[in-house]
Amino acid sequence: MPRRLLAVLPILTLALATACGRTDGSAGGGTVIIATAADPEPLLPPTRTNVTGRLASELLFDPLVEIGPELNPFGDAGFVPRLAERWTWSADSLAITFTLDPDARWHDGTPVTARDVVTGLAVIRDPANGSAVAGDVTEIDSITAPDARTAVVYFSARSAEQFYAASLVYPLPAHLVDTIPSGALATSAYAQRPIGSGPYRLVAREPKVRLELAAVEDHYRGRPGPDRIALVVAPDPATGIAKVWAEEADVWDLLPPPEVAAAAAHPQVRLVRAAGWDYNFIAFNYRDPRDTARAHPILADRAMRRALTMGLDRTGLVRALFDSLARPLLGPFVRAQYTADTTIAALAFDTVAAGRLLDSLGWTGRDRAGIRLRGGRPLRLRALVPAPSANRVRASVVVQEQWRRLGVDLVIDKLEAQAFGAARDGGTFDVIFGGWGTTPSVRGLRSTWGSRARPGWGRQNSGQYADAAFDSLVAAGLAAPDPAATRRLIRAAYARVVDDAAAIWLYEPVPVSAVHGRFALPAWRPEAWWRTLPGWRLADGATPLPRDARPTAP
Amino acid sequence: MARAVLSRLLQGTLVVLGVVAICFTLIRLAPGDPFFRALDEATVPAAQRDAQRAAFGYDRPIPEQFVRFVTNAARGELGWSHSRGEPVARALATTVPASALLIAVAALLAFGVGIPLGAWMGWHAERPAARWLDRGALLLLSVPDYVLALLAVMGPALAWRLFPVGGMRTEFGPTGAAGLLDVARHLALPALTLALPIGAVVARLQRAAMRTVRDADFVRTARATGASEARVARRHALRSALVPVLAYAGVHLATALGGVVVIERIFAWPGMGRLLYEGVLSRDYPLVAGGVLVAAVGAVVGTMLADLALRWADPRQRGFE
Repeated sequence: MPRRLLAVLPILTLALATACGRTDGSAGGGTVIIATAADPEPLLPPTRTNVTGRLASELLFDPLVEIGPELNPFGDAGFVPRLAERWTWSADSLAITFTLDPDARWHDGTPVTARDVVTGLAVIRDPANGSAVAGDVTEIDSITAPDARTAVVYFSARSAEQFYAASLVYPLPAHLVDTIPSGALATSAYAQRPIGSGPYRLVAREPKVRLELAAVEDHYRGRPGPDRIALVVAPDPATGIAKVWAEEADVWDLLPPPEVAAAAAHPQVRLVRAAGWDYNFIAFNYRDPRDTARAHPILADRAMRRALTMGLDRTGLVRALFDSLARPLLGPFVRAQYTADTTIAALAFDTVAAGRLLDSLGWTGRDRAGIRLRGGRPLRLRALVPAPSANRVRASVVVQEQWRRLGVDLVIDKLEAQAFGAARDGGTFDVIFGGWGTTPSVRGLRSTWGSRARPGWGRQNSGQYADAAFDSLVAAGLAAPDPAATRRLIRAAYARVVDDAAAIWLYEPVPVSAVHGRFALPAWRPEAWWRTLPGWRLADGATPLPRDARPTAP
Repeated sequence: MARAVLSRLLQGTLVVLGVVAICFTLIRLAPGDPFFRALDEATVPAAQRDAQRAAFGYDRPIPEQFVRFVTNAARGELGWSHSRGEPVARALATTVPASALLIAVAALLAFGVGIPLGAWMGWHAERPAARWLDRGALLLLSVPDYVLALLAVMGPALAWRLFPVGGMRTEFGPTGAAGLLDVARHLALPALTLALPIGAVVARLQRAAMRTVRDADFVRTARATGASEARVARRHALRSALVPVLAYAGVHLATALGGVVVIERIFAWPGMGRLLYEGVLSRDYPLVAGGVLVAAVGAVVGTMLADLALRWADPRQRGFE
């Protein structure tokens, strides 16, 4: 072998390993302490119920394949191997055969097999487990395991995001899970101390207090960087953030705007800004809150919804509440999504036109407080606002004042999370200050804005917006064979819902995370930053903290 | 005496059952259920949620659920905590000691300092120092506990780095004797924050009581025996003046758990107050029922202990059996 080729071989090997998502942390990478307000609830990927649960479960478990840094959910080009080292499509594109990595092992040393993939889907599909992923893998018909290393995923129909759906299935150890009776998974010993396949294994868990993970030394993708990761629960965000300022913790995700400015006083902390994946809106209720069988007496009228939209200065609201830490929302999507349409036509802020529209609807009278009247009835709307969301509470107050000037009386009903959820699901509101997290995929549209008339659609569509044309466009977009067609159809669906004024699109926050400066970070993953954790290293020249001392082997 | 104790035990059992029954019912009548997901998370279909409710028997009538709870609790089974993913008994076993430590240290500080300080203030009520101390106590009383706690986090913990910000231990910190010292460092701020307003109440109560008994006939008689002022104050006046403080101690013990909720939340102290608060927010029915049961038993026992202390301090109490 030529000497020059020998010289570049290590570089090539490293490049290949990086391309496959492998990490090499043999030098050790210290300890990462993540402060969080929420407990990582269920540690199993199919049953996790919050973002912290997703963080922990995705460090403990590997999927078959993972969406790549381009976050392109179409086809398979943008995906990187995980438990599956390669895959092939069937001639009719209705089946994908995944070949598992022969080195992949569960943390108890048992090899990962195709049977584990079958178990992963079975857990999602079992209604007793209440998996929220079930609605996202509906196009998967079944999974079979012809041999230990081969799993075949069959689809009921072709779509641009078929491969993405397969990436949502996390194999679970059949030798541990298959013996658990249906409905008993949540309370099983396995769910409390899961054995996973990810770069970190569970060391200790004190519910609502802390979770400790340790690097898997012989992980099939290479040893991850940090030796240990701890999630420390601080229920009061001010305490959690103070822990980062005081170097008791290393990471706080999603700093509130006032704390971003406070970070300047703590030079050891670096701020990481990323593209936002959450959006917030005011959804109108299309159904009468007193009798959901009837149309809403005020808001079912498109002209009314448009008037209320035009009567709100969204740009001013975003600037007042967030300064540069949020952007006005353009529709039911965030700018980071592949299908985002930044040229979409939005209703402009125009109080004169809004007033004229309200006049034309008969809301011409005024009471002593300046609230519009029609037939002696005031134009009064009840807004449902979640008390745990400080941003939405503040936004509701601004909206209340702006609409008051228009002659609309907004009654704010601020409720704790459970009561908010019950009122939202029961439809007992006129408008709701909502927020959704998005993913690279647009399949969430079926649930958030799709009509409930379609089976499995509209579960999160609490305002019950229903438009057959919108549904058809979304369905066609998801079934389209190529990304360009999907983008065109989904953008048409966006235009439709925005033109209908189904909601007032408020803002998409720009997430800012605080990270201790002693770590050198790889490229940030805005939709799931924790996926970068295995690549974290103690920066050259950085002063380690006492907790960074390499732990002794158990 | 035995009859009195037996009677109090019976009353206490009825109180505990009543409190648990009320909380058991109210939490089930509140909107939401244990299977609600995080605020903006996708919900599971209604049928799936109903299946989950049925699996745990939450679809049965409330009285039936209560009878089942009491029967199981009598066998030591408190059920499964949905929000913590562990048995309720284990959740209580880990959090009760943490709260007990916090409450005990805070009570020691509050009563240990408040009683002698208040007694001194009452005995020397005319001295300017006593008056200033009284105003200081009033000031401490006026500051809401969460403000005090946040100030403690921002000042001594964050700005001056004298104490840790929160938690019970340093992550990956020392073990053994050094570990105990580490727990003590973490305990200092929450215990002080909890103790300060209680200590202020105790000091003011003690001051007023001491001032009242200072000129009482029995104190004058004690003085007439030639005993020193300090001995009169300590041996004769203080014991009598302790009665209102001990009565307050009983109330304090009964309500201590409610008082630690804010402190445990702000200092991320893994105690039972926080456990119950989070249990209520997440509609964790078994956790709330089990937690309330333990808290109610604690309150009843605490009140009984305070009553016994009162009987020791005030012989008149024994005459009313």
